[in-house]
Amino acid sequence: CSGQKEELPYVERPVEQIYTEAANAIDNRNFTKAALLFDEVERQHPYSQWAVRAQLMSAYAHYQAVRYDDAITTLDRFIALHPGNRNAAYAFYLKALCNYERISDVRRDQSTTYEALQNLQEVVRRFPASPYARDARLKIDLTNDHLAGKDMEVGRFYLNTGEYMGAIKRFRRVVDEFQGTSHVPEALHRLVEAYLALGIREEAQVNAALLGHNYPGTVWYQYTYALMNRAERGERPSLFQRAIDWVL
Amino acid sequence: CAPIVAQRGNLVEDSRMAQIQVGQTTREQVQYVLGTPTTTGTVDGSTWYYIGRRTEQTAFLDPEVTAQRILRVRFDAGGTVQEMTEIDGNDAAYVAPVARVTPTVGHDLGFFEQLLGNLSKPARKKKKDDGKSR
Amino acid sequence: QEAFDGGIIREIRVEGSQRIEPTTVRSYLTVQVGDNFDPDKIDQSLKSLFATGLFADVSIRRDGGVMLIAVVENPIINRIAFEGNRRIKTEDIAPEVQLRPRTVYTRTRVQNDMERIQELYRRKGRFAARIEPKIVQLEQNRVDLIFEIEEGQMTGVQAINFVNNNVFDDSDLRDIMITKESRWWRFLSSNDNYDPERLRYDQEQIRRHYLRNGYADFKVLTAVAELTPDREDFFITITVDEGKRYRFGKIEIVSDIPDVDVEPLYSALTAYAGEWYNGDKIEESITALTNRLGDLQYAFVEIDPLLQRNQEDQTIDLVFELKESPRVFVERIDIIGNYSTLDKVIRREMLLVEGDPFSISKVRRSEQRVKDLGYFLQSGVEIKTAEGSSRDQSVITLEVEEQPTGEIQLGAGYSSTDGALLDFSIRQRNLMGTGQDLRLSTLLSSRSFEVDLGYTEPYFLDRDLAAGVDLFRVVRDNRDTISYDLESTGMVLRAGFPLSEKLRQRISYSLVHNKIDNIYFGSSRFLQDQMGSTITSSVESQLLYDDRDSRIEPTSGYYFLWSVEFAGVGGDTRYLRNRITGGQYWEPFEEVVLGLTTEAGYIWGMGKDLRINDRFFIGGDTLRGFEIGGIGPRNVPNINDTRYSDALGGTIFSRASLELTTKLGLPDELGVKAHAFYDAGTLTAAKEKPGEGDVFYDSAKIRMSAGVGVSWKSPFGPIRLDLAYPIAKEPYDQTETLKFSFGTRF
Repeated sequence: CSGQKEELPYVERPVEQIYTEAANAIDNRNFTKAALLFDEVERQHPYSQWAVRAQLMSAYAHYQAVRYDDAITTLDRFIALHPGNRNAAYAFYLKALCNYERISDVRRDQSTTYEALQNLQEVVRRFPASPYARDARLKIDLTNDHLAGKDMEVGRFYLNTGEYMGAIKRFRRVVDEFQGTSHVPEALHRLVEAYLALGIREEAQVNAALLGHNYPGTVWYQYTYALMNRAERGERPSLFQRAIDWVL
Repeated sequence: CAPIVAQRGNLVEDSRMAQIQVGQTTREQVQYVLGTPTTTGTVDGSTWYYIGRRTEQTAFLDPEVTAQRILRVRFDAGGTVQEMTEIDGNDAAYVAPVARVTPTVGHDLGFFEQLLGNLSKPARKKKKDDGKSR
Repeated sequence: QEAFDGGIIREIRVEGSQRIEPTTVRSYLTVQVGDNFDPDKIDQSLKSLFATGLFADVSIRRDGGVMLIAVVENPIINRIAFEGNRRIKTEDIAPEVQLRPRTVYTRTRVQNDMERIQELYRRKGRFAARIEPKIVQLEQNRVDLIFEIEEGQMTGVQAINFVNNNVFDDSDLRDIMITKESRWWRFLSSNDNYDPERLRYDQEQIRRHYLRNGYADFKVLTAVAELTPDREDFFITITVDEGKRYRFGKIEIVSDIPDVDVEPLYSALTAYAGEWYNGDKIEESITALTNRLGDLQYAFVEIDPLLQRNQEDQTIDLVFELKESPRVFVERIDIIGNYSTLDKVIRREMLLVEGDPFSISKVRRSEQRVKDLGYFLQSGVEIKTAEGSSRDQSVITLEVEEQPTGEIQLGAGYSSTDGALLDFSIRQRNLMGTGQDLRLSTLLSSRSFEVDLGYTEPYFLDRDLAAGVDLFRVVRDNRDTISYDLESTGMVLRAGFPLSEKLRQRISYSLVHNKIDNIYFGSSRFLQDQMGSTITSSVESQLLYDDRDSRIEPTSGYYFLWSVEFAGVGGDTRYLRNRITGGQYWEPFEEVVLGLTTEAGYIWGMGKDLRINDRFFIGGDTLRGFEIGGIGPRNVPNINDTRYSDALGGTIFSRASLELTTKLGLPDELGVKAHAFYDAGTLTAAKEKPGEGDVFYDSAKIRMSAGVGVSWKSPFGPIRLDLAYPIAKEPYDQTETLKFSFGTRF
């Protein structure tokens, strides 16, 4: 478990002293302590101009200490209190990073991925010119690629268990809604596999042609090409081959 | 022992199929009578497919298809049914899906972390996008 | 105060703000510099400023072209403390409270937090708790917030009484309820605290009980809980109106779905004309009809039961009306909340696939299947359906809440056969989220040491095929019962799959190395030459047909297990072992369960002589009143002193056991059960010739014993005591009248 929160002894101290101690903690990478100290700055001197800066620094310290939830709550409060602050762009961006960096693998829950996507899109929408927007756009592509990966995972499950209709729906979703991602070639190949398994030869040819036309160099096109030829020659794999496939 | 019977997809009954007249029925009418198509042509959106099958599965063996109907409905530019054909399934080929998978990133649970870790939304190790951890 | 309307706002000035920058205040206004003064816009700004919760007071005045906004900021919370809470620890209260240090203090938020703490105490059964918030003013507009808590007494239930119930008396109805009257022996259970939620659930239970027994008009008029003057307990009084008792009149099925033949559907019904009316039977019939129609591929069916009461002859006519429900298909199934379990481990339990016709009964059955996985909290599996991209498409969202599936169990115990025993097991039922099960268990007792590693993949090759492997090592010193030590190390490969809903087959291959040594020097010649080690390599098939209502504590239904094992697939032992077991359970009267178990087995050596550890040994649990190996072929050199005799095991056996179990009317939580049993069995046919000095005895006479026992699921662990008296036995049989076992899990 994530361990107990360090409790600081509650001592009233002048703001500069706490702030510098917190800044030093950041320098020697003791982020948990730094976060607590920045919180103290804001708690004891909420109206000093240090408080605003301390809020952002505390969020940054939480982020570095991999306490993403604390970072996000602090950032939300910063955004609510100081929407016009010149560092607001960084606050939105840091919040997006908190979700982006704990995207779990495609076989598991993807709600963090959706949150990350929304945060990143908000950064691009609110601060298009800011330096963070450029990196946010890059991360948006990677997040979309990840969401496409999720649909592929489910599609492959249905394909492997012989549920061709469910598989087709998922792979079509990747082809239609995630054009720019790295999964489209595989999705097209899987569509060829599914349509051939159902015996809809014509649609299989359409998808094969689309794959050949747009992604000729990919390994997926080679698989499709081989599959179409084998199916063309009406060659059914031997029973022995099927048994091996079944066992493995 | 009774096999498990299941109906997959949209198996169009004869009575419904009869209501579709080539050259007369419009796209909205087809949508109303047969419902949303199971899928449409990847390139040509005005080709609709209605795919349905009934399967019987005993124990862990492959499900056996006992009934299947694949209906292809094509619309002309004006949106009325130009052609409706039923594709018989006998040139279905046995396809063993390729094992290869397009790689994805994302944090995977370590063995012990999963075995004993707590399962709420865990704060995870910081990982750069290229997947190498700090 | 100049009027607001007319004139241009030349400047907006903010006064009294300390922490909130003026720009932030302006950003919440609906008016900008350059607009003209407009009363409703200004009113809106006022409302939006208040809505932020940042300000204790806001006022807007006009001074010529300047709009003056005077704000008084709400104080900032410096620290939050809780005093007076003993029953509920501060760490449990803190997360419930929304206010946090460094957040803004507002009256409404304090009110809500007080209510949340009150609710926390109510759930713990303390309705007399009172909470007072105290404020300590600090400089720079900061406050310390202290919640003073007065917990008060545990509010129990003094008495539960019923008014005008004449069909079932008070104690019957109380048994149905979960809320119990506070009694000393209920110190462990919290069911005797008053909880309005639970009382509502109890009323529903009582209503269903009446509906099950024909009282279709039954109503709970009032359920009142009055607090005793000293606010410590509640009196619960439930007034009911039982109404008349009805029987089923005509039962019909009417269908307005084209080409549905109604006739064969009648067999699915569980409600029959003339029987007492029973609400559950109607539900059951509807589910049965839906499933039957689903199998006949009518996926879109709604079934409404129409009840027609005829007061005179007190019968109810029942019409099941089949209507066509709208054709809806599953567009997508999204699974969320699975932070550790893989998506496919949950998806494969769904009876619906994307693109399928939508069916509520399949959704419900799927929800139950996911719950049965055991990886999620009991209330942590919830399926929601919403309209998809068009009217006839629906999106199913399955939300799960995971619970730790790793179990570490440490047990200690004593049993008269094994002496003191200690067992430790660690298990992960959902390894890496893949649904696989990994279990390591060890048992250490004065007579044996066992270690067993088991691994199971429930969906081998993504099919409904449970494959697994067990590795085990057993070292048993049973010299004073069967007079030899056995050391066996082995491996079992197993695969199980369903043949139909209740019939399941399991095929396994096992490879075991057995070593027998330090045989007691005085024992028979036959035993002596069993020394040494052997390899047994065998395949086994088991067919299990299980129709019991529960595997742990069955009260009805039967099961039938047939297993055939052939050893001789390599290895140096050869035999064919056949074993048939059957069990039937009834509940003759309330809270009394009668169980009959019968078993028979035959082992055939196929020409080779049988090793002793492959033979059958009857006694102990399989024939109470006799030691393990207490009956059957025996080498008894001196008939008057049977202590120095060795059991040789037999090749054919049969046994039966009739056991009556009752709770003696004691309440459930105590977990005490009394048993009375009658066991009978025989074991015979060991054809070996006695060595010199050996005197073999063997008889096929049926041994019998009768006895009583008591079992108690104590908070420390299950305890069982059995007293059995052998009625019919051979002089040389070894008896064992008292058996005691005690174990704990913590």
